[in-house]
Amino acid sequence: MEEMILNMGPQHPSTHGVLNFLIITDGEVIHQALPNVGYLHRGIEKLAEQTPYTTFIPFTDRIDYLSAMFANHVYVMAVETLANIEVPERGEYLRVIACELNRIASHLISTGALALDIGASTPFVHWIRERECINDIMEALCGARLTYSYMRVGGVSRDISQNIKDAVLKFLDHFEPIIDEYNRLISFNGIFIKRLANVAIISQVDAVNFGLVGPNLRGSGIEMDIRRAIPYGVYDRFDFKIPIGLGFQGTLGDSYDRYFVRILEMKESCSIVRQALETLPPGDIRTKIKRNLKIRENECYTCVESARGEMGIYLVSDGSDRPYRLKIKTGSFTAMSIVEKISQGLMVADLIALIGSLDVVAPEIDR
Amino acid sequence: MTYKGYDILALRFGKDTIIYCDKTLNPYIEVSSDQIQEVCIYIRYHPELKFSFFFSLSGVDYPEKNRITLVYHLFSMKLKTLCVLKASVNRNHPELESIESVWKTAGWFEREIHDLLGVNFIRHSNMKRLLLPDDWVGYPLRKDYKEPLLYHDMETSRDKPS
Amino acid sequence: MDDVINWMRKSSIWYLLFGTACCAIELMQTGGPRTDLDRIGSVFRSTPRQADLMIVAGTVTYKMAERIVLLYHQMADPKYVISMGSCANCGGLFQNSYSVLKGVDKIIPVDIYVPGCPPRPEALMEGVLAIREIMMKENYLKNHGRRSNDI
Repeated sequence: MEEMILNMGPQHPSTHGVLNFLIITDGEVIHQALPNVGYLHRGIEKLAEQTPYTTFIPFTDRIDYLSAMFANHVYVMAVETLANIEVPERGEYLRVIACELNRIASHLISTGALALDIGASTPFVHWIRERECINDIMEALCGARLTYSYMRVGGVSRDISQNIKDAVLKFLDHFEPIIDEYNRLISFNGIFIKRLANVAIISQVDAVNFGLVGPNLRGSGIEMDIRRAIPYGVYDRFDFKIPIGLGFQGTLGDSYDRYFVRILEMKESCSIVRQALETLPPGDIRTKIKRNLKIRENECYTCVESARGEMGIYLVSDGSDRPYRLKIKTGSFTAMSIVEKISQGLMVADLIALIGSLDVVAPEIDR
Repeated sequence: MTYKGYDILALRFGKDTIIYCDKTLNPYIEVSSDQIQEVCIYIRYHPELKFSFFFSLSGVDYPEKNRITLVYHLFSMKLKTLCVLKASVNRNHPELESIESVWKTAGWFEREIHDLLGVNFIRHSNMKRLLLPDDWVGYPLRKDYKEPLLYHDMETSRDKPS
Repeated sequence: MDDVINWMRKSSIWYLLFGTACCAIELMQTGGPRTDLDRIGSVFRSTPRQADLMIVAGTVTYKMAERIVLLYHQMADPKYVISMGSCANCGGLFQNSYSVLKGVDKIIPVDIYVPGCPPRPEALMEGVLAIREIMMKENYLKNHGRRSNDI
């Protein structure tokens, strides 16, 4: 059979962002799929060397726009660790509430986009409607709908009022039954299960070898979560389960496992937000620091559990008010490296299911 | 890395190739650049250490010391600790052994460092540029990088409104 | 006669789904239930051959710029371009970056600039309504189906 090279190009309805795949196929079965990235490389790491510590926070929003709170969090945590700044308790609790709400919003888009790629366009519109409620809460809290810049070095920027607390509780009461309704709509639908179960199975050995993190790693059955392995903030005061894949409808480690782990994580996030709102302590939200922050020569590595897995920052300081080197490690970067191996032998439609279930976002890969 | 873990490594490789430094917040182990692949294999599969999670690989440019330092971050679920390895190469001839055979994911990190800093990794399966266009000239993350004025007939700057 | 043709054209603007970065999410939310682009007749198309409006949403890098020119030339006349967000207008937050094109109007002609980072759905809606006003003033029969040069 003759082989042809297809270009699943940067402008495509179902690549999540601008990604390019060179697919070598004989018509339906893929022999090799080579990812070609770099269409959104903006040089954020080089810009960090020219920006003072306290003013770099808007850039971190744009690393991963769907989970901007986590990117903010890991950066301010790195600066606070190096400069030995302590955050007040109320600030830490507000960070947890904001991050878990952002996790729900990010999983809404990723599960909805997977359903849209498979061909079901209704669930995506339902999920966009729910996400508008979270956007309204975030707009009341920090002033922006998408790129929040809510955290500051030493705490958070604004306090939560009684109106916002009531709005969050009202949203959670409305949202938790909707997850069950959504499961009845699409997750237990026969055609959806046939498209995703037993497709693109990632074994445990492969998952660790290729450095997968987050729901992709947990979908293959490995229980690894940064909130439990390297605890940070006040996460050790909350009671929550870590959902892992069990081969829900097929084999362990297939696309359906990775999808269903995200649905279960949304439920856990709702419970964490409720616990945090009940036990919110009074006090300051932010420590006062110097406007021109200078840090002596040192280096550190901090990481958080973002919606797409572990996001880590390696920060090197040299005594001035700008970083000497800032390196950002994201979950989507390692998830792209596994596509070349797993896609051999798949059909073209299954490749779409694989990319959708891995939940890659283009700016995280390119930065 | 816990002190017990460092003792196991020093016993195997000798204290002059594995140097322990704890002046920074995360103490690191300085490894000589021709031993890095063997250290990684040992540290991944040793039953007491088991550093199987590869977190990150970064490159830092030090032009005044004429070297580029590569920093490896690894994590072990058994010891619940982070391990930092550092290997330095000469800035004028930057070459290092690739650890793609130990962790497959390191292949992509090494391609990114080759793209942005110019380090060449020996025995890598696909040493090409990753993020920048294939005909880009120069290595942007180096401290002495100068931006060109034109790229493919597009101006690289914009006049600010006066 | 011109008015009838203009009314038909402006009531069904089909836009090319082209989002690179954060503004693409706001573009998707504009197509969502609250601010609905479908009520003015706009649906998204994935191929440039069927679209007559290109909304460039997000940062444009040098690697992507050549593909944008190719997509623009693949669209059929008469075509319009909206530049959405500050990254597409002028480079935005990434003015000092080495790999970002400082404004998409360096490579293709732009009709409407929508400022914001990212712009709210209401702002994008106003941009599309402004395109409709431009369309009402066109004179297609006289120009053989092409855009006039003085609007």
